[in-house]
Amino acid sequence: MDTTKLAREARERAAKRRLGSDSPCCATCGCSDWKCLEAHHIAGRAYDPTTDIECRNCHRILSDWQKDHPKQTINPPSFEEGLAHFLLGMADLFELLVGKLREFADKLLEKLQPTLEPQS
Amino acid sequence: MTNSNLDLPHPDYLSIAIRTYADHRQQKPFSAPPYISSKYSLIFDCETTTDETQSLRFGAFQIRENGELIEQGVFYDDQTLDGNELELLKTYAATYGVAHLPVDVFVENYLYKFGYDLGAAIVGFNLPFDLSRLAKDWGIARRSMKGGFTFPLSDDKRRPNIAIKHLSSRMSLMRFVGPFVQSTGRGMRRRKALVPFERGTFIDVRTLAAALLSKSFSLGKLSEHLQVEHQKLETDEHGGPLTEDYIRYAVQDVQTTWECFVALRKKYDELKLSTPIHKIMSEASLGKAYLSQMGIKPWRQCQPDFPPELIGKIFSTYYGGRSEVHIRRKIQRVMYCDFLSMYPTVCTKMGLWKFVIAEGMTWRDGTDEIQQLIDGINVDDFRNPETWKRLTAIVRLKPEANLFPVRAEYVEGAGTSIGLNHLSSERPLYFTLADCVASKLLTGKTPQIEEAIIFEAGPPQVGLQPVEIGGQADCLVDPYNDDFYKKLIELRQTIKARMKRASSVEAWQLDAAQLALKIAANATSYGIFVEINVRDELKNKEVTCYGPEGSFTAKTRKTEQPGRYFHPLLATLITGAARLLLALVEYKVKDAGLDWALCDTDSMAIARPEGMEEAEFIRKAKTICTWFDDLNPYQGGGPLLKIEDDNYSLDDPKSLAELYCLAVSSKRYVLFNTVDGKPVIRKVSAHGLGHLLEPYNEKNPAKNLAKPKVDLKEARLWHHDLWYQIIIAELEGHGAQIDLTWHAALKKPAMSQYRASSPDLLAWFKSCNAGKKYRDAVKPFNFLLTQIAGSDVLKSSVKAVAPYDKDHDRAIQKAFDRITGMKINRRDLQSFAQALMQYHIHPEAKFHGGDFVDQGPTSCRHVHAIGIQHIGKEADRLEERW
Repeated sequence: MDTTKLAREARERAAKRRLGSDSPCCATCGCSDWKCLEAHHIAGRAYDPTTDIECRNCHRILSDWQKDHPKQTINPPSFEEGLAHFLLGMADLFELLVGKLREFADKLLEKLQPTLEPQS
Repeated sequence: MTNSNLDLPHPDYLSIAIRTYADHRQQKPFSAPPYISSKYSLIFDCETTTDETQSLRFGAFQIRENGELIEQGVFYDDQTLDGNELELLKTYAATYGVAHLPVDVFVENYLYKFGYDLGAAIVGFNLPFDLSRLAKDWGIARRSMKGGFTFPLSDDKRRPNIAIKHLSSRMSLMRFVGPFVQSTGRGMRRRKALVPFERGTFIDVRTLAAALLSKSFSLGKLSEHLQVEHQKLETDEHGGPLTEDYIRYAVQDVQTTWECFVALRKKYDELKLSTPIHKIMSEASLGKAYLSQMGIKPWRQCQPDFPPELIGKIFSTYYGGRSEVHIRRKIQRVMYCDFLSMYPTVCTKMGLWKFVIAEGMTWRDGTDEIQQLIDGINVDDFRNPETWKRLTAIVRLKPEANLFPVRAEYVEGAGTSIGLNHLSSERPLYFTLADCVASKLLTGKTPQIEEAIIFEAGPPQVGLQPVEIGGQADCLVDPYNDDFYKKLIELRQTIKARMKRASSVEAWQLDAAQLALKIAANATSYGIFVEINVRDELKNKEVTCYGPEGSFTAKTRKTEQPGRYFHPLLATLITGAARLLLALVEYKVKDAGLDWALCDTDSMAIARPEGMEEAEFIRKAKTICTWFDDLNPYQGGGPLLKIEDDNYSLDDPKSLAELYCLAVSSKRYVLFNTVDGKPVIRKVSAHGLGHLLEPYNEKNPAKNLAKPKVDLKEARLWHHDLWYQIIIAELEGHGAQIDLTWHAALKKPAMSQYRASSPDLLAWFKSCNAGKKYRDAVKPFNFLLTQIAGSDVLKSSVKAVAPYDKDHDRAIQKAFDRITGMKINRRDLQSFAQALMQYHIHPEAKFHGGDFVDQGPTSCRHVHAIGIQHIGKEADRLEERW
C-alpha cells in the first residue's frame, strides 16, 4: 500500500471537508487544485459568515480589496451594514471575474492570432 | 346488554386517548455535513463465539478502490483463539497471500485509515453487530444519538468513537462522533468557521436491501435473490474449533456482501435519485428522495408559522387503519376482498397531491356548508368524484352515541386499542369529516357539528422538476400536470399487464420497475406524513403539547421530533378516508343482507349468513365489489374492491372455491378451504406469535400434520400448524380446547429473542456484567433471550431473561429475573404449549362479545368518555415492554 498516496488523499479529503464541497473549484478563475483552494468571506469575516471558494491568488486579491471598504461603524455591525459589506464583496467578486473574463478572452484571441485574417 | 330506550349497549365509562402534538421548534436538528465522496470501500465481517459474550474470534475484510480489490485479509483476537487456531489463520493467510493482523492493527490501519481519514464506505451485513465486536468498551451516546451506544475502538484518543442508534429491526443510525482533537485550525476557530466532523459513510447491506426490495433478508437469502456470483456458503461450524473451511466461509461472506452491495447499488443507480445511497435506510427514505428530487419543499418549511394550536386539533383526529373482528371464533364461509392500493387511492380521490406540492395551505370556517353536506349525504354520493374532494375538513362536535374510532384502554392493563364504537362525550372532540359521514352511513343518525374547518391547498411551489420513477423514461411524472399517486398506480397497472405477455428476461426487468412504482406510491402516500421520531431524554423535559382543547405543558422522558415531511393533515385525511371506504363496504354488505367476519385496513371478509344459498351469496358479494368499480379513479377502470386470489381454487385459479374464515381477534385469523373435511390453509396470521422463537421448522416438522400448500409469506411453519389445530378443534366441536401436543418441541420453554439494541435493554444484564471486561461481558447488539414465568403468581412480577446461547437448553440454565437478579428454575418457565394455550381465545376487548369464551358476532360498545388522556406516539418496541 502506497502510504504517501494515502496520506495525500487524506489531506485532500480534509481540504474538501473544510471547503464544504465534493468538487471544489475557484469561483473566479476555475482552478480546481484542492491544494490551492481556500474559503473566502464575501462580506469580510466581521460582517457575515457566508463564504465562497477561491484559489489563493484570487483570495489574496479579494482580501486586499476588502481593505479599501469602509471601516466598521458599530460593533457588532447592524444588519444593514453587514448587507452593505456583502454587496461590496459581491461587487469585488464580479469585478475580479470581469477582469478574468477579459484576460481569458485576450489570451484566446492571442492564441488564435496567426490564424486570424487582419481586418481591413 | 342493551339499553332499551336507545337500542344501545349500556355505556362503558372510560377515559379516551387522543394523539397530541408536541412542539419542538426550539430543538436544533442534526445537520449533516456536506457529503464528500470517496473512491474506497472497506467491507468486513466478524465471526464470534457462540456463548453469551458473542466475542470476536476473527474476521475478514476487503479494501476496494473504485470497486477494484486492492487488499484483503483476516484479522483476529488472540484472546479468543488458541495457539493452533492462530497458526491455522496465519497459514491460511500465507497460502492465499492475504493480510493477517491483530484486530487492533485492523482497526487502526484499515477501519480508521480508510473509513475515517479517507471516508471509505464501510460496508457490512448487520453492521451494528460487527462494529460492536471491534469495540473496546461502550458508553451512552449523547445529543442526536441519544438512546444509542457509543463505542471506543482505539486507545488513541485522536481516533473518534463510533455511535450507533438502533431505530428498528431493519435500520440503525451509525456515525463517527467528534474526535478529541481539533479538526479546525486556530485561525478558523477564532473566526467561528468550524470544519464539520468526518461522520463516515456506513452502509448496512441488510438495511439497503430492505429499503430497495421491500422485504427483510438474511445474507444467504439476499445472495440467492440477487443471484450474485459468490453465494453465501453454508456452515454449521459456528463456535466450533477453527478450520480452513470455516475461514473460507468467513472470507466468502465478505465477497458475498460486496457483490450484494454492488447489485443493490446498481438497482439504486437505476432510480436516478441524487440522495447518496448511504442515506437510504427504508422505503420512506426512497419516498422522501423522490419528493426531494422533484424539488418539493416539506410543508413545515413552507409554512413554519402554521399555528401549533391548529396542528394539535388536526392531530387529535388521527387514528390508524381499522382492524376488527366481527364474527369471532366461528367458522364462516367468506369472500375475502381488498382495495386496490388503498392509501394512494384515497390520496387520488381527495386530490391530496395538490397539498403535497403546495406552498402551504389555508383554512376557513365551513360549519354551515359541512353540516349541510352531512345532512344530505347518502351512499351513492360517493360515486361522484367531487364528494371525495370535499372531505379535506375536520369537524368539532360533542358525540352523542355516534360511531367513531375510539382509542381507549378497554381492559385495565392491556394498553390502548382502537375500535369503531358508539361514543358519547360532554366535551367536544375533533374528527375528520370522513369519520363523521361514515358514522352517519352506518347509524343513520346525523351528527350535529359545532365547527368545521375546511383546508385548501395553497398555490403550487415554483421550480418543481419532473421525475422518472424507477429511472424509467416512460414513467415520467410531472408534479404540476400529473396527480403523482394516480400516475404511479396507472403506470404500475400498465407494467403488470405487459408482464403477462413478456419474455422471462423482460418480465424480470418489468417486475423491478413495478416494484419501484409500488414502493414509491406507498412510501409517499402515508407514512412520511406521520413520521415522528421518538427521542429518549436522560431526564424529564418540559414540552408544550397541543390537543383539541388548547395547549398545556408536560414533563416527559420521551420527546418527539416530527420527520422531514411531517404533515398531520394529510396523515389523518388519508387514514380517515380509508376507514370511510371500509364503512362503505360495511354499509353495502348490510344492505345486501350479508355479514362480515373481519376487516383489516384495506380488506374485508364478507360472510355468508346462515341459511343463504351459495349461489346467492356469490352473486351478492360480487355485486358489492362491482359497485366500487365506479369509484376507481384510475385510467382503464376495473375493480377497486378486488376479490383476492385466496378465493380461487388452488387447482383452477379461475374458479372460485369455498373459502372459510376463522377469526379470533384483530389481525388474528386464518383463511382456508376444506378438502375431504380437512382444512387446506390459504392464509395465516402470525400476529401475536412473531415475538416467539420458532420451536421447530421445516427440518424437523410435525409428523402427522399436513404440509402447507401455499407460500406462507411472513408466517412460519409452526404458525401454520397452530392454526391447523385451531381449525380442527373448531370443526370437531371443541373450539375452546386445542391439541397442543402435535410436536415434542412445544414442551420446551417458550423463548423470544431480541437484541440488546439500547442501553436500557443492556442494563438487564448489569448484574451479569458486573466486574467483567468488555470482551467477557454481554455486549450491545448481542442476542438476548426472554422467557415467560410459568405460574400465575410469578407471571405478573417476574421478568425472566437469559443471555444468548446457541444451545437454548444451556441458555435456560442461566435464566434470571431481570428485576431482582434471582435465578429462575426451568420448571418455573412456561413451555410453548403453555404460552399458546389462550392464543385461540384471545379476547377482542374493544367490542362486546369479545371475551375469552365468547363466540359469534361481536358488537360495538357505547363508550362514555369520562376523561381525555393525551398521548404521544405509541411505543412499538416490544422488547422494551418486557
